Amino acid sequence: MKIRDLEIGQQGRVVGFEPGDRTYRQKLIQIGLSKGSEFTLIRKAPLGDPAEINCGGILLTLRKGESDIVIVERI
Amino acid sequence: MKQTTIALAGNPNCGKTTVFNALTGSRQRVGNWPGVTVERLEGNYSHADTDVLAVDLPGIYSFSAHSPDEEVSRNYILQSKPDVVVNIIDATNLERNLYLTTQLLDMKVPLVVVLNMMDLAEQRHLEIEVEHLAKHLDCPVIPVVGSKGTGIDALKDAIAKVALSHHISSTSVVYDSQVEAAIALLMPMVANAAAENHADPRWLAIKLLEEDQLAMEITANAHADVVATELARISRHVGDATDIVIADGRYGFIHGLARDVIHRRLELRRTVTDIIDRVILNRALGIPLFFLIMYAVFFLTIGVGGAIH
Repeated sequence: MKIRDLEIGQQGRVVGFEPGDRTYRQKLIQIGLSKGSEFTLIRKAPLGDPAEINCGGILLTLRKGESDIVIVERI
Repeated sequence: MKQTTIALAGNPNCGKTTVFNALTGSRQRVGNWPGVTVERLEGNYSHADTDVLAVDLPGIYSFSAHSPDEEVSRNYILQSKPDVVVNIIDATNLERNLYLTTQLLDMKVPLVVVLNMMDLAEQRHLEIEVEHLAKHLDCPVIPVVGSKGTGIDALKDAIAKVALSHHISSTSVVYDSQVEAAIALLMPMVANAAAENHADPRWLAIKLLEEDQLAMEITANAHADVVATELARISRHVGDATDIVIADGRYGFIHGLARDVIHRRLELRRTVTDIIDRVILNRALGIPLFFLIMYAVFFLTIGVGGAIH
């Protein structure tokens, strides 16, 4: 499941990362979107891209293509 | 007079420059780091018969050298060997900010941690046990309010003390047992390269496992085979890429710390930013508000500006 599959207001948890792009993955981890971290989907732009999440008080706005490397589950 | 050099490191928006200004006052010089368009800010202050040169490093989340900012910061700490590294932390965002601290602990540099924006943390009902945190990190932790200058004298004292003692924290992040096994294997192999570059062998081993470019250069890629075998072994056992496992180790350490030293008295759900966002990012109000603001801007520049002209 990806962040784009969540509805606004729903909470998710990071369960893993797609293989590949290490640099971008590291960037997300350093900012706080690490494995096991929980977040809330706050809002999506009208066409669903980008989406804003709140991860432990940190607001992150991610592009669809980029956020697809994050594998999440709904909680 | 004695000379001391200190480097200020911290996340973007942690108030690093505010603390830098509070330390050095108006005695500052702006320049560039050699070869890159990253601003270099230097300043001086005198404290207890010592002339202190403070270098403000760019704001970074990590020392992984993925960007010029990170590279400049890391090279400065490794090559210029400042007497003290002052790690500035936004007290309202302790967990995220400590990620950089765990890397400084790995690097085994003389460290002073500054908890900045303590007034905001209090407003948000965050209680941080400063003494307790200092004990865990085995380095001085100084609470300050950079914007008001509170705590700056205590910070200068702490810096002077560490500059004298060169105390290096004995705290280190303990990683997953598979990663630790790989570190133990690599450490003796990289000991010589580490000593030549005045780096810590454990740090170098960790960096090799993170497939870090600079670490590979330092070791002249001599252990590429061993590293590759270890990386494969770790991901087979743990089920994740090694850099994720190492990051997990760092966050595990941070969450353990946070549980011990932070007490949230009550959670304030809605901050000012949230309220502003609710209005200006509203589906219905957003576009009309945008036009209203654009109209106001044009009115000011053309209407009012023209009349004055």
